[in-house]
Amino acid sequence: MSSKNELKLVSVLAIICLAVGVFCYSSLSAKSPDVPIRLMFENLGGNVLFDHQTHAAAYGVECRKCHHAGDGTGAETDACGSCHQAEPSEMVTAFGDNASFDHDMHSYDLGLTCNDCHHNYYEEDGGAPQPCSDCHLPGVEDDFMLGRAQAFHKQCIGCHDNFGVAPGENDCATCHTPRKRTDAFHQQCIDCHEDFGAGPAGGEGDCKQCHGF
Amino acid sequence: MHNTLKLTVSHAPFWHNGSRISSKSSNIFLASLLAVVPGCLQYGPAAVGVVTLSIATAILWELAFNFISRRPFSIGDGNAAVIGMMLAMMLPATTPWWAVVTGTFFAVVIGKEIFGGIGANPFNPAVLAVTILMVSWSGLFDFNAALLNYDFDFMAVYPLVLSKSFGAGAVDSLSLADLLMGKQIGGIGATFGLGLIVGGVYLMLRGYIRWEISIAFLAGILVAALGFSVANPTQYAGPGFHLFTGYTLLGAFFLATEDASSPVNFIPMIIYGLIGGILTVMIRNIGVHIDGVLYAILIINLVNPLLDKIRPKAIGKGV
Ligand code: HEC
Ligand code: HEC
Ligand code: HEC
Ligand code: HEC
Ligand code: HEC
Ligand code: HEC
Ligand code: HEC
Ligand code: HEC
Repeated sequence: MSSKNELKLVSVLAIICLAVGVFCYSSLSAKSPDVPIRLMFENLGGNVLFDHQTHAAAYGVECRKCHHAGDGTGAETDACGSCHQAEPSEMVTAFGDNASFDHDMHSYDLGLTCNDCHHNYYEEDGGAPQPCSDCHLPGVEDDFMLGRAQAFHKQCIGCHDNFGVAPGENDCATCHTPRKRTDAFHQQCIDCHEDFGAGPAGGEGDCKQCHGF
Repeated sequence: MHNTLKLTVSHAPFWHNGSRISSKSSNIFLASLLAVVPGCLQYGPAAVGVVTLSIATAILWELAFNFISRRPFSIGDGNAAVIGMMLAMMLPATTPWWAVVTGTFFAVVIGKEIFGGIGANPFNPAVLAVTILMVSWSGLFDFNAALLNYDFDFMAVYPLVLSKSFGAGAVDSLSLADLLMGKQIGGIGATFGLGLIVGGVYLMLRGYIRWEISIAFLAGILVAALGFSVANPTQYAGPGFHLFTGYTLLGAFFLATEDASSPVNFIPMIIYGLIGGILTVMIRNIGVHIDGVLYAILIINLVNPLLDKIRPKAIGKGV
């Protein structure tokens, strides 16, 4: 082939490639899927590659098990970080300084009897009711006795559901100040792996099964 | 005193198989399609966009440089198109357009033209360009992050990251046949091993690339990887793994063999290839980088002029 023809050929190649390239970039670029397939969490502990699709589909985990504050369908799932922020925040302040429980409002304004909540206390007996955690121990739960958090959740949310009022089951943030981002992830991922007895948990060497991508 | 007619001879390489540069370029171009087409099928239009934009802009940069430096238009030799193709083969399918355009600028202008054009480049232009991109925007080459939105029927984790961060055990489940057939994520034209091998063998048989370099490079990989994995089998993956992952095959057949930056004599070619392969595995296993192929090739490009000093004794006097 003469060099003139070569020049022509390459010019044509350049023009076609440019046209196809511009077209692919401008019109055919892949949209990111509505429900993520894999997610990369970049963090100081070493990046974590989370196989979202496999967790939801192959391991048969319901969306709401993880997207605990969504509407349950997972369709409008907020990023965890929108509540669990990276800056330090108290873990649970439902009853802490920013308590979201207004005792007077509940006991007097709503006309509830003391016994509706302090279920083993009768005002006419006198004295003060025992703290719930005397009997419902934090972190201890068995067939007979609810743990502290469960006791509160069941009672508070159960009554709200009966009255048809908020905050309901998924309105975690109305009662709580969310924990730190890293705690939120570690607890959710690792607790579930422990429950299933599968997937990386808190053991030695397990950190490196999630971190390091 | 006698009149001597001085003939100025340019740098090595001198290797002629009787055909024009353009036929060499077109053969390499076509051979690379064996790996690029499956890559495009795997990644869809996004990959086609990267490949075509890369080829087009590589040609256009060369044209622009020819124009500015008032030299004859050299794009007809097809070398710029080949450089564009090689560059695209190393990129993930989601590379943004500006990175492709910058990449081809680095390759064609910085990697080749400012040294005087084809034949004068000390480094493989595409390798140099990708290395510059990698150092400048390392996030672009995080294949795991770049390809998050693709749904594959195989484990969608870049194998070299697995072996590097999680040890040899993490890659036990990968079958070599799957890796060879491109069931792995990576650069657009770097993962379909079978295509790269067939293309490479074709180019060797036609004499467009030197078999000595490719074979020595692969031998270097095998020997070094075997050494590492024998020494510590839990940490270091075996030779087969290193052969079929990352840029190994692309490097052995298409990158290390670029002729301006590689030696021409038998012994130097063997040494050149061997060092490349061994360095690749060393960088992967004990260096900080995920893949070592590109750095290894830059280093052997660098020692290439030295290696070329090992040559047969000239016959005659005073030479
Ligand atoms: C094993 C836990 C888990 C399951 C099950 C799960 N997800 Fe997620 N999902 C996550 C995590 C973690 C994120 C990351 C959120 C972030 O980036 O902060 C996420 C992110 C998302 C996002 C993107 C949110 C955003 O704005 O970044 C959507 C949408 C989503 N999930 C939908 C779903 C749907 C629908 C299902 C059920 C089919 C589901 N998820 C099941 C853990 C899960
Ligand atoms: C809506 C549920 C509810 C009702 C109704 C209610 N309480 Fe309580 N009360 C609680 C909870 C929850 C706590 C905190 C318990 C704990 O921290 O263990 C509490 C705590 C108390 C305490 C301890 C406060 C402190 O600072 O330690 C007293 C005393 C008390 N309640 C008295 C009453 C009396 C008297 C009535 C009836 C007039 C009443 N409560 C009605 C839910 C209720
Ligand atoms: C003296 C010990 C004691 C105290 C104090 C106590 N509980 Fe309980 N609670 C029990 C026992 C025992 C049961 C299980 C037997 C039963 O259902 O009555 C129980 C059951 C419950 C249940 C489950 C009821 C159901 O219908 O399944 C809830 C919810 C609960 N407690 C919440 C609370 C809350 C909230 C407080 C504090 C306001 C509290 N308890 C204080 C002993 C206690
Ligand atoms: C026996 C029924 C009952 C129980 C038990 C109960 N609540 Fe309520 N709570 C109500 C009702 C009814 C309202 C709605 C008040 C309104 O909207 O005026 C309410 C409203 C609230 C609100 C919203 C207040 C606001 O200002 O809008 C919060 C927060 C709340 N409850 C927290 C709790 C917590 C925390 C507990 C458990 C410790 C709890 N509640 C237990 C009946 C209950
Ligand atoms: C109606 C109010 C309310 C809602 C809604 C609510 N919680 Fe709670 N939660 C409480 C109260 C009250 C406690 C007991 C706090 C304490 O022990 O001081 C509690 C305790 C907890 C604890 C235990 C903390 C500990 O120290 O062990 C966790 C975890 C928790 N809640 C998570 C959630 C999550 C997740 C949601 C949403 C799915 C949620 N809560 C919704 C009121 C609520
Ligand atoms: C709308 C706000 C919101 C979003 C979005 C949200 N959380 Fe929460 N989450 C809360 C609140 C509030 C609590 C209760 C306070 C606490 O324990 O931090 C909570 C509690 C938790 C807990 C403790 C639950 C327990 O039972 O011990 C974990 C773990 C957690 N979140 C993880 C996640 C993860 C992972 C995501 C994303 C998939 C997520 N959260 C999304 C608000 C949110
Ligand atoms: C609700 C349950 C649940 C939650 C929440 C969950 N996982 Fe898992 N995960 C599983 C199960 C079940 C497996 C084991 C599947 C198997 O090995 O068959 C698993 C396995 C894994 C594995 C190993 C996969 C493999 O191929 O060996 C990783 C890594 C992992 N999970 C990461 C995460 C991360 C990161 C999170 C939090 C963002 C998370 N998981 C949250 C249920 C969960
Ligand atoms: C099940 C998977 C999993 C395991 C196991 C795990 N992590 Fe994490 N880790 C995560 C995720 C998810 C994040 C949140 C990343 C983010 O913030 O986006 C995280 C975040 C972190 C961070 C980041 C803190 C910051 O401020 O950026 C550190 C540090 C960390 N983990 C250390 C550890 C250590 C140490 C272990 C072992 C004891 C461990 N992790 C085990 C999944 C895991």
